[in-house]
Amino acid sequence: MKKITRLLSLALMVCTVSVAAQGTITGTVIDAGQQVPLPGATIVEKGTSNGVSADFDGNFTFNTKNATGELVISYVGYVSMTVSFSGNLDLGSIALIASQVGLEEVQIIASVAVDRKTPVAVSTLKSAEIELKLGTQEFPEILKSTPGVYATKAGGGYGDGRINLRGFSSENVAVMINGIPVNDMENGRVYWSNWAGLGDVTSSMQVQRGLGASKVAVPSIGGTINVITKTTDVEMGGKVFTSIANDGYEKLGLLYSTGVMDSGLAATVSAARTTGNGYVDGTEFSGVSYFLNLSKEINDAHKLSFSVFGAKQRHGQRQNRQLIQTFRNSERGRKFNSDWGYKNGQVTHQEDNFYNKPQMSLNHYWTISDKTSLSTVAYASYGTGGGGGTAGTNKFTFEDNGQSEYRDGLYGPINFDKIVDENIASGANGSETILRASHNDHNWFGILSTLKTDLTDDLVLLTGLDWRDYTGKHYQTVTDLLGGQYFFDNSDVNNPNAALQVGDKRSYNNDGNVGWLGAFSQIEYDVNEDFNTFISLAVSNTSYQRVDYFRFLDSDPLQTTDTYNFLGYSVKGGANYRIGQNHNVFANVGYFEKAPEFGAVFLNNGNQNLNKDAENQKITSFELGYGFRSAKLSANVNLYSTAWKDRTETQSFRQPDDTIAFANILGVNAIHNGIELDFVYRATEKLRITGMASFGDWRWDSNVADVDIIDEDQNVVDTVNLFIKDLHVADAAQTTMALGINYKLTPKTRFVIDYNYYANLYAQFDPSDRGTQGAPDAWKMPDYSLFDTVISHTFDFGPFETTLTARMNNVFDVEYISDANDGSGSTANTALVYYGYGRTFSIGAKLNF
Amino acid sequence: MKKIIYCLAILGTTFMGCEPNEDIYNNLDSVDKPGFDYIQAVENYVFTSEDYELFETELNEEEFFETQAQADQLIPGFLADKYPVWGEGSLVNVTYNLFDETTLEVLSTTETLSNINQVDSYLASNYETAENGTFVELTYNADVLSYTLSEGDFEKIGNALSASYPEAASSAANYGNFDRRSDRDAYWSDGMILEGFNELLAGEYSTGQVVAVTFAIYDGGTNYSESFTVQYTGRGFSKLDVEVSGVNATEYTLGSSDYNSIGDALAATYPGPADNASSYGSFDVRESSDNYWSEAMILEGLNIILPTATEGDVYAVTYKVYNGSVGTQTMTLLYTDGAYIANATIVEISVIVAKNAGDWALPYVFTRKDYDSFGFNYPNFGSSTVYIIDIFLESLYPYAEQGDVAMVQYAYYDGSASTKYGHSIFDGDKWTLTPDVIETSFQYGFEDGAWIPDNTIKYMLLAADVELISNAFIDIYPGPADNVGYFGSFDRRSGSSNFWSDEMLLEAANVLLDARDPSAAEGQKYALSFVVYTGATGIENKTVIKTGGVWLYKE
Repeated sequence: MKKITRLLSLALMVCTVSVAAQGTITGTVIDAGQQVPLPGATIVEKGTSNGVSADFDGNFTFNTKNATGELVISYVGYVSMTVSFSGNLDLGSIALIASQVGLEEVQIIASVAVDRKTPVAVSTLKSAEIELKLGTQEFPEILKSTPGVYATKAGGGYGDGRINLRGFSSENVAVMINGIPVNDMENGRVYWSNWAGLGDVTSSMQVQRGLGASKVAVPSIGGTINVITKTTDVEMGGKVFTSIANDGYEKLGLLYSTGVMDSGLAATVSAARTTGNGYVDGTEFSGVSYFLNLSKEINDAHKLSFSVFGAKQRHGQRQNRQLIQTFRNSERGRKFNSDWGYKNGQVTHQEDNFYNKPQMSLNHYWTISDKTSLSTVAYASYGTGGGGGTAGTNKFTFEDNGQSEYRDGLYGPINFDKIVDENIASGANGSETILRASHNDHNWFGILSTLKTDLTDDLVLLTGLDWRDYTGKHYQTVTDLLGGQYFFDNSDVNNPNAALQVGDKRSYNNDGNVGWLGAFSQIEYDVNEDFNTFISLAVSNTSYQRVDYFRFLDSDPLQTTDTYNFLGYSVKGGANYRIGQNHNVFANVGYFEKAPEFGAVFLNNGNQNLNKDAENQKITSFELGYGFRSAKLSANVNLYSTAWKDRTETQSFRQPDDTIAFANILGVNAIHNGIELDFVYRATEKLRITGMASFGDWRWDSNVADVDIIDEDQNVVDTVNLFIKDLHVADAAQTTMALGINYKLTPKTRFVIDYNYYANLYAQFDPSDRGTQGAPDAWKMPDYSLFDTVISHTFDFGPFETTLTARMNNVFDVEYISDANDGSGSTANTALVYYGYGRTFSIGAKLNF
Repeated sequence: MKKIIYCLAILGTTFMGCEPNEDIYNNLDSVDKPGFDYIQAVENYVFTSEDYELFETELNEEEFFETQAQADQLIPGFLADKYPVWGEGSLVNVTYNLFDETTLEVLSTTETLSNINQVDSYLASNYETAENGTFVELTYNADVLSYTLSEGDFEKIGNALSASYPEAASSAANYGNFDRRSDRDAYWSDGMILEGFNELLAGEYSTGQVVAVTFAIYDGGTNYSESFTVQYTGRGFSKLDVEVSGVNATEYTLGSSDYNSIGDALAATYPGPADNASSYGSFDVRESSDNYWSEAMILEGLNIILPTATEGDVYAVTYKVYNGSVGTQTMTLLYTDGAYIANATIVEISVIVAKNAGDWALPYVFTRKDYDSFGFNYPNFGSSTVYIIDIFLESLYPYAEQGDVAMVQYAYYDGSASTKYGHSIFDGDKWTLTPDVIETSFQYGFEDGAWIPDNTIKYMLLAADVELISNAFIDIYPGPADNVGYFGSFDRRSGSSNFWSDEMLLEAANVLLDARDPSAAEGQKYALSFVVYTGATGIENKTVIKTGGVWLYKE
């Protein structure tokens, strides 16, 4: 504790530099496209180390050392500009052009919010900060110092991270990459492992909390995460980057841009390979991420941009949560993982994950006139992959004291060789236990088109279409017979009593076909320069169809269901009012109805007894915000209230004619209220302090009591009682705080300390399981706080501008529980948990050329 | 402003607890855990000579425990020394030598049983828990048949035994009696008389049948007859030390007038048979005949002609029957409650039977003749001769198959004479008599800080067990039963609709164990392990104990 205080006071020591000035130059640095300030842009007197950075409004005042010379004005992601000066000078607005071709247009498609203009609560991270801080962390963790965010590594496998926004889990958080929604079309979830390596090519990452600015209908109950990748650099160049880190982590990557060539064509290609053993035992991983962008400016009116990106990875997982006692008992401590072992001397994963979901998109930007432009993206994604697991006799469990005849030692790794021997001994009876994979492939196509028209100087109309066609292919295959001759399966009616070999499908095989057609329209009206308003309406039709290749004969028309349609819509509006230079207030309000998920219609993964009347979930949100901007301080305060009503709750029951029917039970509601505060304070030229505090009050609203389920003959067949009133929403810290210090030891050396605090975190539970009156809140997990630190230094290494970055996460090696499932009696003793990582480090080098 | 920020910075750091989980750990660490604070072991251990030496005094320098109670007293201390770090829940199956003489269990009943089949039925239903090898001395009321040796019988006996006992055999044949003067060459000892019965009557009775045999004697005095109560063992007769009351039956043979009297009296009731008996002076006993006399009808007839007697009188009535040819039959009747009833003589006797391959049977009892045949001076085995039993069994059971067991009863002398009971097992080649000192094993468990005899059986539920439970409860708890059947794991999330509560699990344990181990003894413990789902799959353990015929959780 003492150490920290000392460290802090050291870091807080403020040095002021006085220089003998030759001239005073003032100006404002802005983005050429959106005409918004670029706070933090650097202004350096060429040939000297003399420089300043712009304040929040992009303003700067600079005392030059020389009477005449050149100033270099630069900002990450923008093409630097050099201007000459002589004596005192007011440069006025200095508009920097984005260094990325087509970035501005992508931002329109992606509905990127503009500070002090778009009336939503927003936090934006630029590539520079991601590069500085991400290191070996999970991609969503980069947002952990953002209000309302709870991000963890979950089991700790590569790409297994998760993020909750304002207490809502991923199916209620819209994630868009370059404006393309990537939430799973069936269940709404986001699998970050699909985007491993995305950090290398991210240009910016913006979190819009609450309803967000998205024009298309997205499931943004908690918020929207808007990832904008690089497009193509205007200038030729590239970088080579490499990192090593704890537990054998190695990463090597390359990025090269041709720059805009005479033909108007520009290309950027990037690839990186990452391997490691994983902090958690048995989470070895390897991944290759790739990115390609081709841009061509056909003429002034037409721009084309094609990009492909994705990551092919395979990693061992820690799938099974354990009791705290188990981690405590195991000599591996928090690194303990029950889901791996050795086969023939090789690490073999009981649970693993392998995916490759490349996304291709072709963007077309058409400037129809001064006032009208059309941005269209057509995209396709062919994803393959799945998660490994086991089938047959379960030989993978262990006793309370860690014993198992199939493990080497107490809480030891799995002895796959013994399982192999038993499978061999089983001979013509086939394998008793095998490894299998649950595949979740998809073919996904979509077109998203936005027409922007300036109706008048003050009135902008955006309209568009959002079409998607998705097929999810779900099946299991045998991946390892573990020594046996075959594996028996009798789940395919088209191939009964099958003796399966590796690669054969087993257990289930079905497709989910999802269609989506949406239309949206948004009007932005600037009442005056300081008063901006918008209203937006989006309607979408979701259609679901299920094909079951295993449970129905190929000749059976029931193999393919009819298509069922569900209509969702959203309406939202808001206003931002700037009060002078320093203050702004905004408000937004919205209501939307979200179509039920695929699984709510095809209950129990069946083609019969469909829940055709599944209810929409209904979301109402209000938000008030206040912003303060001064030369040194930028601060935001937001108040929000989100009501999530009619969370999908179904109950099946038997009709008098013996058919199964479903009751859709309404009234499972949650209210998420909260206040969020964040600030950036530039104490001095060298010292920047950031901070955040977020206080949520997220609770289930009321009991669902004595709801009678009545069959066609008016008999009460069941009575539903869910006792959830005032229970805290679980699985995300309701209170989070962060404090960051970013200190420039020299103009090219940074030292960063980040502190994060998490409290009011409850173990995950399913409200549908809360049938006992008077049951307590889920287990309240211990509060915890973590320190991260980064030191980064840039220098010239021959012709290369080289940056070395050393990072340490969880500096004090705090042992903490990041994720928990509530257990019997809601106590620490019964909860099944994941531990977060202990102290980890990484050292990276980047050579720019 | 600056100050506020710095204050916030310092305030923020104070939120940092270095050990977020400290309280949880303290709480968890306050409970001793197997594998860490102590070792929970499951082990087999075989006692060695050195181990017995530790208890020299208690065991009188023998390498066996005198009784199970002695083993239970000494072994816990032994285990505590041997396994000092093992704790709660540990189980050691100890193999050791135990003096385990087969002893006779004594049972009695007032039921009337006539032969070994009925004894077997009785014990099968009244002592079903007996293990094979159990010897029981059963006291019961035996149905007694009576038989009187005729002169012809003495002749047959005399002829049969003339080679063995020339003088006595000749005397019996000539005089129609057994000479019971022990100083004479013609003397018939009890054993010789039984040999005589064997020659004459073996095969006439079912095994276990008790017969009161009356025979003429000559003792130089006024006793002209004597009676033995004997039991047919299947191989011969053994003499029972009981008196059959009224065994001196009055003999009565039907004359022709008797048949007429019976015929007249029953003319109305059984016209055909009555007329036939009068006409021919015999009872037609062919079931196919129109004139058939059943035993009940004959008894009805005899009641007509026999004189009124005193309570308890026994009549041996001989009458002619027609069964294709004319012969005689004898029916022993008891006069009671003013009427004659058939076969009604009963006597309380004791018989030693042994359970073998699930059936109760008479053991082979070594006789004086057997001991003589071994060349023994005294009619008993000793430690150096007991091996002969196994050799003898080879000739007794020449067609024995592997796994056959012979039950034996024999006299034994080791300073004092005693009767021993035992069983010998045929391995396909040789018989081996189970010794008195056997190698046995018993399980001891560490409970509440000490080793105690513990019969806990550790049992991991198999797929078939889960299926059994799923099927048994599908109508009672449809959701949970279906769920466990599908996933093979018991859902232990209390809020879940498929939740298996502790009470439900106990019900399942009852169904399972009653099916898998229906004969489990009272007090039997099972440590059941089964796969559960608590959000992740794991193993849960529950220990149950059979109490009052049902399985309860062991506290």
